[in-house]
Amino acid sequence: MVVLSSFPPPAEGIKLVQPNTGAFINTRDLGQGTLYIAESRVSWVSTLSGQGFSLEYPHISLHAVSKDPAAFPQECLYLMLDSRLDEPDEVLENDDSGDEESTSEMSEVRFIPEDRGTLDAMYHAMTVCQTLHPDPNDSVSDDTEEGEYCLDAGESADNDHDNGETENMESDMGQFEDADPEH
Amino acid sequence: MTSLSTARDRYNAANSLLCLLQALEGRVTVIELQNEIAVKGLISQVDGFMNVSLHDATVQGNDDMHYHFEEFFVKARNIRYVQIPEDVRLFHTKQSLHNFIMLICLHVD
Repeated sequence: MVVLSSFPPPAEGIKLVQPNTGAFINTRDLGQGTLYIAESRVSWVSTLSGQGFSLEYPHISLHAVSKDPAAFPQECLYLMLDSRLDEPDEVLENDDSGDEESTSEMSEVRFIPEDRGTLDAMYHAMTVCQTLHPDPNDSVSDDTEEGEYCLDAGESADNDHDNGETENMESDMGQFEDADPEH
Repeated sequence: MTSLSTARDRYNAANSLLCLLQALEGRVTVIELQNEIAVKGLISQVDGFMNVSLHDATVQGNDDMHYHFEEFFVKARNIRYVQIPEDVRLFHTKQSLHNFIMLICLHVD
């Protein structure tokens, strides 16, 4: 899931590489490094130590462009994770840090590019990559009894959501029109 | 409840909910996340997996502080509620109401 170690950055499916990017995990400043947004994962490698971490999309609950100084003093890409990150020098199990985050399974990661203008590109790269990792627990895809309708909500909607939506409504309206056409 | 619903029902139900969400593109709504954080913003896009992209989002955290985000993307599984604006008409047809009820039943199951 999340690894803090020396490892090579992703080699394939890279959507964006952003050098001179700072990283924060919760309140911890990890310094400057290079951010890699790839189809498989988000990785950040410290310029100084060569160490870094990887985040997998199923564990990234949300991401956002943050320019509000009340939220964080620097403009950054904000990520909320659904689990705690193990950081160097800290033991994952214990809550002895007294960190308010320790009571919930959640972490916050911020990437601060030196070039603020790239924030939108970073956000969009992550958005694109997130659509490649749909939730495997989607209720429609659970059912595999009938092949004809065994479609991911994503697949069906991707194919049909432009056509299917209007088709459904148009075919229904004639049959099920309300008695009062005014409303 | 699953024995009463066919794959077609589940497909139609999920598709209806997706269409409902996609009909909110361009509208300002409040989304409550599973962790009880509320996000208010303009829905810029809902993708086929019901992931939601918001523009000009304000997050109200547990601490009653408000934080603003220019762009905000949340994955479908993290969404608990989406508040529908009052003027949005739901259930034009009996079929769409049926689909919606089916979806509720599926999720309760």
